[in-house]
Order: sequence, then C-alpha cells, then structure tokens
Amino acid sequence: MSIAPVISAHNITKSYGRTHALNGVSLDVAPGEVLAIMGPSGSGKSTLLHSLAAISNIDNGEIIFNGNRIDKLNDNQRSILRRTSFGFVFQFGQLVPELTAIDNVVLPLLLNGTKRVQAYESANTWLDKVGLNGKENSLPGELSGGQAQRVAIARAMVIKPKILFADEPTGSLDSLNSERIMELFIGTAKKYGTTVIMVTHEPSIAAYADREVVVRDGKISGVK
Amino acid sequence: MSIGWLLFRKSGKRSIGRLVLTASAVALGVLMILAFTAVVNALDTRSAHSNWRLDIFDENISGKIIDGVNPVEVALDTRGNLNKWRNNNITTVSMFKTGNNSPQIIGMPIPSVGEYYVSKGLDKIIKDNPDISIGSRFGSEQIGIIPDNLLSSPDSLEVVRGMSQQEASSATIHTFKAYRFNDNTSIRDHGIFILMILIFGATILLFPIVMFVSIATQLGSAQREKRYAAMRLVGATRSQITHIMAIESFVSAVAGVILGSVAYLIARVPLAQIRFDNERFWPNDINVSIKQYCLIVIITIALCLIANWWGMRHVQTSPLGIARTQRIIKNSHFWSIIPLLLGLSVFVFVSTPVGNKWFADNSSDSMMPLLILMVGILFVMFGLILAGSWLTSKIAKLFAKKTQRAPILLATKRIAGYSKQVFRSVSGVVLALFAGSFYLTAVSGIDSFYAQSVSNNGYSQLKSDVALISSSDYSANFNKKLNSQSYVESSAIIYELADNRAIRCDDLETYTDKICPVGSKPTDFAQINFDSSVVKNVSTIDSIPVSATEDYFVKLNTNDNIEKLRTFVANEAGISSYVISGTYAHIAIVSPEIRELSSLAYAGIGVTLFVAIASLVVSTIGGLFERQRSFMTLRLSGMTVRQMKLVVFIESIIPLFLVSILAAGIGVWVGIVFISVLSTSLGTMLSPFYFAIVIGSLIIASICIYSILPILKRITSLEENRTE
Ligand SMILES: Nc1ncnc2c1ncn2[C@@H]1O[C@H](COP(=O)(O)OP(=O)(O)OP(=O)(O)O)[C@@H](O)[C@H]1O
Ligand SMILES: [Mg+2]
Repeated sequence: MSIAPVISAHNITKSYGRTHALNGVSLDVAPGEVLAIMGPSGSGKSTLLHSLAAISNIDNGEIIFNGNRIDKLNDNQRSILRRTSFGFVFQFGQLVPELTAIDNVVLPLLLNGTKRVQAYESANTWLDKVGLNGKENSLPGELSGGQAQRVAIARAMVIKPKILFADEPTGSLDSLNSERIMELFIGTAKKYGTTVIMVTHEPSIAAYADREVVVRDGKISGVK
Repeated sequence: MSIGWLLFRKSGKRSIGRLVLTASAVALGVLMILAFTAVVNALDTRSAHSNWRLDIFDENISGKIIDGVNPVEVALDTRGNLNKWRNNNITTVSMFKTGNNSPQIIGMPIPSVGEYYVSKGLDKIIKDNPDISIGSRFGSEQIGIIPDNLLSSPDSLEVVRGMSQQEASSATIHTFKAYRFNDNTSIRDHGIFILMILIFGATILLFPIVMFVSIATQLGSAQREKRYAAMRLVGATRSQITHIMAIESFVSAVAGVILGSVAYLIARVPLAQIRFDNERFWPNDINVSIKQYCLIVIITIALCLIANWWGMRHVQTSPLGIARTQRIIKNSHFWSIIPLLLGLSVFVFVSTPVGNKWFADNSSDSMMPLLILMVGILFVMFGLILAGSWLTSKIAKLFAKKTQRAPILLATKRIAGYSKQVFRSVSGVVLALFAGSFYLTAVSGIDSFYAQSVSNNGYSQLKSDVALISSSDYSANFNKKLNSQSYVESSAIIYELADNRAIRCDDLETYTDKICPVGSKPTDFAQINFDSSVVKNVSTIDSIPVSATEDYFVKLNTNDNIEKLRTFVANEAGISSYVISGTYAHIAIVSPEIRELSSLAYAGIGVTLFVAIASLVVSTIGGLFERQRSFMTLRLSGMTVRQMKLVVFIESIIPLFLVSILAAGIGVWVGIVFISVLSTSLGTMLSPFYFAIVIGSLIIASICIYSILPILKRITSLEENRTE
C-alpha cells in the first residue's frame, strides 16, 4: 500500500482462557477506507474490533494508530484516545439511558472539555444532519431502533473522529431501516473522510464497504 | 461546572426515586444517631447537675478544711423514711450553718432551721395535694425553689432543708462538714464500661441503617452499570466515572443530613418527654455540641461515600460493559462461620457443668469471666452477620436438592447463587433480633432476681393498707391523736423486743398474713421479725418485758392515705421516723435503670426492625427491576405471574424467617447461659410482648413483601419493555 495506513495490526493474538479468539491477525486500514469485517458467529470479529479500538487488551502483537502504538496505552490514555479520535456505533446499548438525545450527543464533547454553548451547538447541528430534528429532548427509551442508531451516529461523528468503529450497526433493524441507516452512515463518513471499520455478517451491509476481510477461527482467511 | 455535576443534574430527574430513598435512609440514620447522642449528653448533664450535692461528701472537694470558714454540716437523707412520695424517694439534704462565715450555694442561701427549698417536681406535688401538707415534714416554711441547674430533672423530688444544731449533732444521723460547695456542673468522664455499652448500643442502632444506605445506593446498579459503560465508550476516564458516582452519593448524603437534622430538631420535643429513670430531661440538656454535630455529619457523609463506593466497586466500568458482562459473584467461604463458632463455643463451655463451675468460681474476684462473656457475645453477634450469607446459601442449596416444584427450585437456586445480596437485606434484622433477644432474656433474669426480693422482704408479711410506724420520739398522746385521724381504721401496739417484735395474737390477723399457732390465747403475743425474710409460722410468748418500746400498726382505709400518715408522723414523731407500707412491700423493687433500659431495648428492637423491614422491601423492589429481563424471559417461556410471585415471595421470606429464628434463638440461649453464670437461682422468662414483637414484625414483613409482588405483572408486560 502506497499511503501509510491510519491503523494497522501486526500479528495480534487474544485468548479468553482456552478460547483463542484471535490467532495472529494482521491488518492495515487506509485513511478514508470503509472496511467490512465478516465471518461466522464466534469467529472473533467483535474481539478484533474491540482490540483495534483499544477497548480490550491483546495478548501479543501490536496495534499502530497514526504511527503510534496504542496497545500499550494505559486506561486513561485510551479513554482520551477514544474521546478524541474514535467513534462507535454498536448494535444497541451504547446510549446513556438517563440522558436525552442531545445530552448523549454532547457527552463526548463535554468530556473533551469543549465549552458548553459550543458543544450544544454542534450537537444540534449533528442531530439535524442525521434527521432527528425535534427529537433532541427524547430519552433513548422513547426512540425507535433506527432513531437510536441515528443518535449513536451523531454522537460518534460529533467529535470528528479519525476512525468510526461499528459492530452490527443495523443488527436490530429491518432491511428498509438498515439501508437508510447505512446510507446515512457511509455517506457521512465519506463526506468527512472518516475511516470506517465495521463488523457485519450481512453481505448486503458489507456491500457498502470498499473492502471486506473474512475472519475465521480468529484468523483472517480472505480479502475481497 | 464540572461534567460530573452537569450529568448529575441532567440524569438526576430520572433517578430521583433512588436518590430520595438514599437520602431518607441517611436522614433516618442521622436522626437516630443525633437523638442517641443527645440523650447520652442529657444523661451526662443530668448527673452533672447533682455535682454540688454529691461533692459535699467528697473529702477532697468540700471536705477539705479551710481556715476561717465555718463549715456547713450536711446530712443526706433523714434517718427515717418519711422523705418519700408514694413509692419514690425524696432526696433530702439537711443543712446546719455552724457560723456566719459559711460557704454559700449560688442561687440558694443556706436555709435556717425550719426553712426549706423544694424541687420543681416536688413543688407541683405539694401544690396538687394541699391537704397532705408534705412540706411540713421538712420544716415550717418553704422559702423557695431549688434552682434548675442544681436539679437533675424537672421531675426530680428533692428537698434542701435547714436543721437545728440538736438534729445535726444527734447520734442517729451522720453529718459531713462542707467548707465549700462545688458549683462546677461540668460533665465527668465516663467509665470505660459505660463507654463500651454506649458504643455497643450505637453500633447496634447504626448497623441496620448503614445496611439500608448501602442497599439504597446500590439500587439500579445494573442500569447504572450500563450508563457508566456507555460513558466509558465515548471516552470518560475511570476517575471521571468515580467522580460522577461520588457526586451522586454526596448529594443524597447532604440532603439526608439536612433532612435528618431537621427531623432531630423536631424530635427534641418528644424526646424531652421521655422518662429515663422515671424522670424527664431538662429540654435544654437534650443537645448535641457543635463538635459532635460536625463529627456526626462528616462521618455520615464519609460512610455514605464509602457505602456507595463499596456497593459499586464490582460494577463494571469497562467500555465493553455494553457488549459484555463479566460480573463475578463470589460466594462466602466456610471460614466465615468461624467467628460465630468461636463465640458460641464460649457459651457451650459455660453451659457445661465444668465451665459453669469455673465461671461461677472466678467471677467474684476477677473481671476475666465477664470479659470473656462480653467478647463471646460480640463474636456471636458479628459472627452471625459474617456467617449469614454462607448459612443462607447452604440452607437454600439443601432446599433446592429436595424440592420438585419449579418456583421453589428457582427461588432457592437464586438464594444460593446470590446469598450475599439476599442476606445483606436481612442482616439488620439479625443484629436487632440477636441483641434484643439476648438483652431481654438477660434482663428477665435480673427481673426475677428482684421479684425474689419480695419474699426476702419481711415487711411483705404486712397486709395491704397496713402501715408500721416506728419512732424513738413520739409526742404525748400520739396513739390517741393517731386514732382520731379520719383515714385510720384501726391501730394496734407492736412491741420492740431485743431481736424481735411482738403483737397480741388477736391483732395479728388484722395486720399481718400470719395467725397464732393453735392453742394459743388471744392475749398471748406473737413474735415476728420483719427485718429478715418471710417466715412460715410464728411462735408466741405470754408476756412482754417492761423494757420493750412501743410502736404502732395502723390499718388505713386506703393505701393512698399513707401520705397523710407520713405527714402526721413527721409532725408528731419527727422526721427520723419510719412509716412502712405493707402495700409497697409487696411490690418488687425493679431497678428503674433496668426497667428503662428494657424499654429502650424494646424501642431499639422496634426501630431496627422497622429499618430492617424497610430495607428488605426496598432491596426486593430493586431486585425486581434489576431482574426485569429474566422475569420477561421466564414469562415468555410460559411461567405465570402467579408462579413468579411465588418465586419472589419465597426468595425474600425464607431467608428472613430462617435468619430471624436463628438469631432470636441464639440470642435467647446466650441470654439464658449468661444469666446462669451470674446466679444459679435466677430464672429467665421472656414477656409475651417480646414474642409479639418478633412474630408481629415477621408477619408485617411478609405482608409488605406480598403487597409489592403485583409489580411483577407490570414489569413483565410487553409494552413496558421497550429498550432503546
Ligand atoms: N468476555 C469473554 N469471555 C470469554 N470468552 C469470550 C469473551 N468474549 C468473547 N469470547 C469468545 O471469543 C470468541 C470470539 O467472540 P466474538 O464475540 O469476537 O465473536 P463474533 O465473531 O463477534 O461473533 P458474533 O458474530 O456472534 O457476534 C467466541 O468463542 C466467544 O465465546
Ligand atoms: Mg460480535
């Protein structure tokens, strides 16, 4: 690859007891690339994603983000990394249930120390962009599955992350909704040049990606 | 504004129920500890009010000779027993000024002969009963009221009277020479023993509250876990999360402290009405000092923060929490019952003949046995708490093995798996029931000791409404005057012999419960001794020696008129006379302290049971919400709401009942063993009131649990279960 990758994994392994979830995975992701990680259930897709995002620790190997090793960072440094450079969209459950939509979106900005007025302004803009005008003060429990995912996208994008990590982002939605969410998701990422790494087992979702890797038994077994 | 505060404000509305609950739990705790401290302070100040009187008899304070000062001769209580109101003593201080340069008491010049001061409590009695003229027993002129700061209570019955030089120098009273009066009403240090009892009491009182607070702070921890995980995912650091948690518990703690302080200020009014040792406190004595208050507040807030931190320490604050859970529930080990076994072994040893003998032999001349017993009690008490969850899980597993029914199986499996949480919600009951049962059993033993004292009291051979008058100073025509009193039905002469008393046989039956032996003549004299314990039969003599002095038996129309008789005797035979009431001799003398402590123990059990039931209900409700998902699944897989109700009911009730019965049983047993060491003759008997409290509170707890079960139906209905 001619351009330097934004994130790369070298021969990483991770086990849970006797389960070898990752068995020596190496992977380079180029800036602005949309990568889909596919594979059967239990193959280690989520584990790989969490490792790349420095949410969980790896046993061996290294992960390099923007030229720096991130697998050796301490808990605080990882938190800061997440709030400044990474965005997350998961299947469900990533919104704070007691906070309204706008408060959820504003949260990472406030954690970053952004001034409140400014933070709410950009949060508002992002809620508009994902089409949730008028739903600012709804609680997650009062939103539909698709709306909740839009909030999650807004929250992920509001910090202008380098990489968006997604794990089955449309896993809880029907196919029509899935399509809409994916269009919004990929469209926004492309527009802002954000790298996307998403886990899915649905070929129709993977079709949005520039490249697909297939994980099998903790190893990358194929690239499309 | 920190992000912690911001988030608290934003999400506080949604968790208001939990915060209010935590705050109320804290408030209850603050109220109880403030009230407890205030009462202890009041007890301290109460005794300090009497410093001036008590120190008169201290050689080093008032007794030290000061040159040029004419001492005041002081006698505490008169020789006789006319300084009484009904069955209560009137503390009587008699004073004689030996010269002009005598020490003074601030606010109360030394009374001259005939003059007297009375306490407020006595003044009221005097005014309410003008026909008895109680004051005339002490002198001819009441010259004032004893100042409040020299009195232990608004109800205390005290007299300070002047006496003549003749009375002061009479052989029958013992006087002290006071060269100065101590007007320092500062509080003295407690003995270590009292201090220990206080700390013990405070611990028992506070433990259920701390449990309650920790249960309340842990409510909804599953939801909060999710919330913290979500925050971690978007980059909140661990310390930011800790900060957010701390703010929450801080706010509820502060709210609780304010609430509790207000409640305490209100509670001071009824507290002033509480009688301790039959006397109320001065309202101003019921107080906590600024220092104590600050200490209580700081400790409370710190305890809340610690309880919250302790409760949430297992909460996963990993960003992965939203995708994976890895809660590890550690169950208790066998070793957790070792302290209980150690404590119990002390009492098992004591109840063996060898052990009992050892304790009985050594307890008179050494503190060791008592100390061992105390330590044993502490071990049993905290051993019960430590061992509780292990026992609960073992018993539940036993049930689980035996049962065939699904609801019971589910319930017992859950108890076994979560025995720590399950037990925690009933641990307050354990402590309250153990301590209460032990205490009340032990006290019932001491009560029976005093009850025996009736048969030890020879005067209980007098019939009711009969009084024995005894004096060395009868006025002329005393007998005639006595019989002319309207309340006197009859009287008889009783003779004082060398070591006995004698009364004519035909009078004997009127005044005592004895009859002369068959064959004796009515003119014979029955010999009877009231100063030793009750005898079965009396012997007779046919004549009275000339040297015998005469005293009187009186039959009153009602015992209430004993007061008129006392006044009459004081006036006609002097203050150093005796009027002994047969009615009162039949009343066992129970130490007022013990009686008060018993009622305190009942109040303590009541309050702790109330708190314990509250925490049981709260933790049950919390548990229901926390397990909403699994109940949903159970219902979807075909379990009826009825069956689920049964599961939850069994889950909460079984541990409560088992643990309560265990704790109460051990408490009673330990109490019995404890008393058996003190005396082999003491019997223990629990009052029906005790059983009513124990059984009643179990029933109330069951009803409370039963009444919250309908929540199950609501939380498992489908439309309530939208997730984000
Ligand atoms: N916290 C954990 N503890 C123990 N084992 C785990 C843990 N997380 C994952 N595993 C195991 O690691 C392996 C990989 O899991 P992972 O979640 O990465 O699979 P996946 O590819 O994401 O599956 P799916 O498509 O079903 O989400 C599985 O065998 C899983 O059981
Ligand atoms: Mg997965």
